[in-house]
Amino acid sequence: MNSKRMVWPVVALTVFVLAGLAPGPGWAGAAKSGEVVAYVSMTERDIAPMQEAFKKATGLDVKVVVIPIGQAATRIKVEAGRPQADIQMGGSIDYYQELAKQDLLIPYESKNAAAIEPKYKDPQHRWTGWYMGVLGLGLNEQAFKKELPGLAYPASWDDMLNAAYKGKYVHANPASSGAAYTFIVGQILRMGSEEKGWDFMRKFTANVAQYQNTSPGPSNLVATGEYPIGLAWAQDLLVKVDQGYPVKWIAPVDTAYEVAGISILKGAANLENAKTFVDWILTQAEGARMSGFSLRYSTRPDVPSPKGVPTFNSLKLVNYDFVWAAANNQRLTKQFSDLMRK
Amino acid sequence: MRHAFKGNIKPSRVLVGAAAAGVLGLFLLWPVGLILCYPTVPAAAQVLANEHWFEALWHSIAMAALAGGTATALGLAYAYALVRIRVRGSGVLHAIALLPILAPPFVISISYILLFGRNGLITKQLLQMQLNIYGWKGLWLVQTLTFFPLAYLTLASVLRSIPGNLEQAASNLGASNFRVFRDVTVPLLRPGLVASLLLVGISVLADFGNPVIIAGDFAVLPTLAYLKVTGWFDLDAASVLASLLLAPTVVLFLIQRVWLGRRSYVTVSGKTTQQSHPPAPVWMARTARVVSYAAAALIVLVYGILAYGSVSQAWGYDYSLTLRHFTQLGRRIPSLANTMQFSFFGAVVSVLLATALAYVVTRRKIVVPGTFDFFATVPAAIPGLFLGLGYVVAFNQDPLRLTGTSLIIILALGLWNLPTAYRYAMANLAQLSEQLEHAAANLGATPVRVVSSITMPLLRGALLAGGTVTFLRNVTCLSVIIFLVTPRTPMATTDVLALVEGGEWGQAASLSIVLLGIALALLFGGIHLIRHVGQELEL
Repeated sequence: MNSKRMVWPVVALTVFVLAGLAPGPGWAGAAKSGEVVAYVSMTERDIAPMQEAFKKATGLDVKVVVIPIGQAATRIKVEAGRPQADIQMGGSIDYYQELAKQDLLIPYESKNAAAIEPKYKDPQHRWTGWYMGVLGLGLNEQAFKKELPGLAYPASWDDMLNAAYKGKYVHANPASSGAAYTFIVGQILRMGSEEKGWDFMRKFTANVAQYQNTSPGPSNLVATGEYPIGLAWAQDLLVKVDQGYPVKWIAPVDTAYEVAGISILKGAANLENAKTFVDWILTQAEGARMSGFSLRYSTRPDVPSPKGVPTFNSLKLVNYDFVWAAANNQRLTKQFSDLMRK
Repeated sequence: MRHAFKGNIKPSRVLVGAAAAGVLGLFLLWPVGLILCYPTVPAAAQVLANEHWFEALWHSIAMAALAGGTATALGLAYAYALVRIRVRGSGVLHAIALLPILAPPFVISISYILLFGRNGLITKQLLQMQLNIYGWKGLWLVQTLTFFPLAYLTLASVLRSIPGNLEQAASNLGASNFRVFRDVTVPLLRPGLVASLLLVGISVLADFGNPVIIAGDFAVLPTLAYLKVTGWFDLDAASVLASLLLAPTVVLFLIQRVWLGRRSYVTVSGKTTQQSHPPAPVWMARTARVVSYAAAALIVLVYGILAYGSVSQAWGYDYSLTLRHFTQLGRRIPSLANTMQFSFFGAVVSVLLATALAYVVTRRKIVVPGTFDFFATVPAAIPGLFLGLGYVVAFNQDPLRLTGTSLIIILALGLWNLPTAYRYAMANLAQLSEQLEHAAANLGATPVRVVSSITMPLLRGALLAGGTVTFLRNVTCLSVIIFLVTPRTPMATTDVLALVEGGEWGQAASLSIVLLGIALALLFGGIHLIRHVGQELEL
């Protein structure tokens, strides 16, 4: 009796297993014509419009995993030449330099990269810098008025040393946030020497209320008024502006910026489509679309700056040294985390 | 005849044992071993010299002890209120306590910040206090609320299994109600209290979701290791830190095994007696009632604000209603479908493997059953993130190249949840008498027939229970799959993480609500199915 009653569940289960595995997504694993796969270290907001624009321009699909650059790099490293994606895009070229050093990227010189200045490109073409994100301050106008009455909005990083900000400014941890690392390098370059840079950061960290673990972390907390002010990439804060939070982005004088890269991964299964994708990303038209949509500055000189923010040339920026930044990451991060513990 | 009978059964058991050992070795020991042995010795030494690991280790252990203590105390009060005092709305309170177990990680930390942060609805707007949730005190509160349901479920089942006649006898002999509690109930509860302390301790040690968002500058080992992986892709450091974490976890785990031994199973299968319990002392009843209502109210608030966030214009700022976050969920359908599919097959893997192991361990002392028992329970001590990383390192090369497939996710979930399924399989198999199987075998049934006609039908309840619980644990699991999902195999919890980090809080909230709904539906479906075969689901 019992064995008979067990028959149906067993049959149903078997059918479900077979039905489930047969068309199992990714069961085949390998390349599929008509698509390209990317690890994207950008925000969710960027994805759908980009997929649509790419489909319209080339008829191809781009499939993505949204994954912060540090995690993406970990994956690319452990997948060691057999990546689950063809492309890595977004995130600072600091990471791309390190991935290139570990021989995980394929050289590809896109015809559309010719318009981009050499300082934004790998001499061996393993990565190309395609947009710039500017580091600044995110500010909640309501909370600022309430918690810091009468204070003018800061115009420079030095303004942030004002004791009024003590416990009201939220920063990020450079061990896991690209923004916080760019901040360190930016301050050292701005002050002219490591010694002076660290001297500034020692005073600066005295005002920090807490350190978030990701770059968008401070923007998220500033948006809800948890803190009146915090560290922010322009493009991260824009996400919150878009959703209706009362926030504003400020570019302090002599601030730093990141250049975000794009690369084809070694072992890419859809190599030809990946090349098509890189070519497309680097076109003037796509640069203009992305720039207009997201407060990112294209590295192409023929793409106008995003609306509503100062033009790139009018921004006062430090002369950021990307090679030096990548080479000293471990040491500077460690030094900053000693400051955080005080 | 006797000789022939033995020869008939034994090889099949050896076979089952060998197959189970093979699966454990290949899909558990190898990947975990690879990731633990990842750094070279000098690299490891350098990590130990550079990192503030000792402080983080100390923080981790202290937090496990603190939260273990408060969660157990809260769990005891909750269990006492529900099981003994039977406060009004016990059924609802029970359901509320299940919420934190089913919660998708990360997103719930946002609720805590919105309620208890600097600008929190409760701390600032209601109580007008400037409280700082970030740091060890905030983490302590959050971990207590997150993990007390484990303590509650453990202690409720122990409380239920304490026969009323012992307490009644003490009461008849003139003991006051409080003395009955202190001298009879508490000693009987002791194994349950220890079990709960250890269970919560292990869970708190391994958790990185809450500390990453709440703990601020208070570093604990899992967050330190997680940040090494997600920061400057420093796998050497991450692997060393994970190994450090493994040490206290395994110690707790071994204490659990040695101290509690097999006693823990007795509580699961214990029968309640008809004899009623003497009443609880009035002040204790009152305390338990107030505490349990307060805890339930807090949980409702935390989940309520999440649900509210999913239909708000801008969660935490503009609470005017909108359905826009739900209508945007269309893009998540592939992820949700994968989550359901992989979670289901993951549960199948867990249940099949757990049953095979339990079978070998209980039925024949052929090959060191203790070893099998150990390896069936040890995945509970491995942080999911490192199991996942180990899978990538182990299965990204021929001949077993699985990365990018659904199978690798299914296997990782299956092995990671093995201890849960194993607990259910053991509890039931230990109760089944071997005599039935012997009888069938003596009557001429083949070993296959014995298993399919006798053992399996009797185990249905256990299989369903283990399957239900692992299924819903899979649905809300993040840590294991974070490095295994690919653009072709997206899953819902990693989508939630990307949405939280990308600042799309409204969508993160709505997707979490959908996941929570699925988990609850699975749970209640499972409860009904199991009732249908004449058993009760004990969580």
